[in-house]
Amino acid sequence: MDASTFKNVFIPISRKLYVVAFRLLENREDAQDAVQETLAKLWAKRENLYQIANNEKFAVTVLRNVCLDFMKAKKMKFTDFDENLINDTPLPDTMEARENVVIIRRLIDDLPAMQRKVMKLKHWDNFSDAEIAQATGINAGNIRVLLSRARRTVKERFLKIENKYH
Amino acid sequence: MKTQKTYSDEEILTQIRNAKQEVYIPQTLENDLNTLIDKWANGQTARAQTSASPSKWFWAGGIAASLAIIVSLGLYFQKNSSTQQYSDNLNIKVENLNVADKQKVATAERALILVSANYNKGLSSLHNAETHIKQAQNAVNKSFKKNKL
Repeated sequence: MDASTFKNVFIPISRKLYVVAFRLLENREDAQDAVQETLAKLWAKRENLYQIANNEKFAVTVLRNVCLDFMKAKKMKFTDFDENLINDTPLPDTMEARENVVIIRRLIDDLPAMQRKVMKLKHWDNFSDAEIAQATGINAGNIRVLLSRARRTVKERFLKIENKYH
Repeated sequence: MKTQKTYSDEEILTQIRNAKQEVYIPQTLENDLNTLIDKWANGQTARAQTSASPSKWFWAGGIAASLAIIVSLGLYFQKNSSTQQYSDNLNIKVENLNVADKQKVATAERALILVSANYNKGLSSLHNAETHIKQAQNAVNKSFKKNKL
């Protein structure tokens, strides 16, 4: 695969790769580095890319492994299903903080890492379960479990906050 | 009486979607990648241009360099204590020796000076110096035995 073909295949999906990397790593610089590292690895394998049926899927898989390496380097957990909430968001005591959007974002940010990442990929970036599975390495069944737990937690905590002020 | 507010799952999902935070994608992302690919195509090494933290090899190199320094210092002090032993062994009643033995002592001392002067030239030089010291020491010891000191 020459440079021109390589660019035509992978540059158009680089934005999607960046979104995945950002959701997994939650850091702009790391996400950019991860995308560059992914393309470097794909470039090294460019002679064999003709054999790949779906280059986008393959690129996401490579990106996932790159992100795993980043996370290991930073000792971040990647496949935790049963971790507790990172923080217990204190109930807001000001009228301004009660805006639903702000509250929901805080509640999502306080979710355990994998629930947070999967929820954002699903409901904010409109990834399919299959795409999330590709990006995280988690099977589709476990993704549904993560999403279910995340939504339940957000709902319960959101209702608690709403009912305090109504 | 205060009524508890409830939301259906669908309403909560709507709230979640409405709270969406867009991922800010750097405007130069695609241009930067184009430039990188051009560099790789021109034969430059295909490594990501890290913008943030140093690579793991940076830290591995630093640790290796530190270990090399520590090991060198350890060997230096170990060898110094070895030469000190030779010096102590030779620290005897020089005034009771005959001229020949005094010369041998002087030779031994010169050998010790050679050791300390040549240490920095490497361990192989040090090894040679140690050999000379041993020879000098053996010669001196033989003389002492003769003079019954």
